[in-house]
Amino acid sequence: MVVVATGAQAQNDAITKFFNKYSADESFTQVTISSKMFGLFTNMEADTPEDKEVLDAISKLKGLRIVAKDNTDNARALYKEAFSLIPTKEYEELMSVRDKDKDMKFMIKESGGKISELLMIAGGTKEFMVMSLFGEIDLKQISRIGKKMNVSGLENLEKMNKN
Amino acid sequence: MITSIKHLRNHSKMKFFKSLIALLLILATVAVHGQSKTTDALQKKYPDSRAFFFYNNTLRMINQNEDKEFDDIIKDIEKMKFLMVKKTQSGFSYNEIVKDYKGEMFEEVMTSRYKGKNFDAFIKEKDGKTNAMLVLVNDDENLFVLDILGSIALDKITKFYSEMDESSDIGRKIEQFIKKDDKKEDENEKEDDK
Repeated sequence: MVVVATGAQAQNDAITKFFNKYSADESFTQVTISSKMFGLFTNMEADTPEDKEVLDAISKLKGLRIVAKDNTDNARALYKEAFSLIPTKEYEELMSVRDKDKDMKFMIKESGGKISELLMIAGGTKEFMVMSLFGEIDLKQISRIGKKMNVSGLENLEKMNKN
Repeated sequence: MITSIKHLRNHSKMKFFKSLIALLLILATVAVHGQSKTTDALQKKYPDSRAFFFYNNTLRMINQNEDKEFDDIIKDIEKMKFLMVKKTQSGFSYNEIVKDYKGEMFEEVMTSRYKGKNFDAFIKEKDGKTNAMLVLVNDDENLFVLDILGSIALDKITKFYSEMDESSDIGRKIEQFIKKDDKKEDENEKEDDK
């Protein structure tokens, strides 16, 4: 139990270090959303049952972090570097998308039978992005949440829902 | 007799208007005190900054095209102070400003940086209800402060963010409104000169 807890802590530290490394660099786009922000969605009124499901799913999220870089010549190198810095062994690969000029990997971390983190790493010829979404995650709602919050890339998870 | 009744009526009207003005002044003072001390201090520290107050009614007036989405964004805003600070003065520290707001119990709910521009959102709660929101947009030249009494609908916050950007619709609406007001003032001044 102690080993598991220590392992989880070490993983959190590693992913935090990864985000902090790029967050400090002003040439990167960065976004951090706190659990408080997600919690506020519980107070919102939903127009349709579908919206209600999305709001319920959002209210269970604990945080979102994004680092990204556009129009960069070293997007491929950053993509490779992300895999060397992020403790990917701690995650289970959920889905890979290979477009003509872009690679995307979706990875999840499970705890207690529930998905506690969704990690998306994307790299193209000119673009690079890493997103970590954590909390209690309902994968069926993620693509809808992505649309609601304008997080590009998450719409790819729709393909998985259809399968 | 009729003259004295008229005089009495006029006197009562005057009294009523005086009381109304006094009441409005008290309400305005209360409302101004409702805004953040850090925003007030910033305005004093940077005298060449531009500040604009918007009440919900004035925000609705800005929305002349009756954009429903804009109405949804502003529906829970009771009052908003928009401050534009030009960072020409030395000793400007964004981190210190953020620290001062946090000292006023503003809690950071979102931080972001895009194209060298920081966009940070904060909320203040009372009894579990959001009663104030703060949006800071910081770039190389300016600091924009949106000090809000009330709140913005959360599902519109990314829309609000994109509209605060260069092609900002809200920014354009405020700008048009200000220019319109400036134009009116200029025209009035010209009329007065005549």
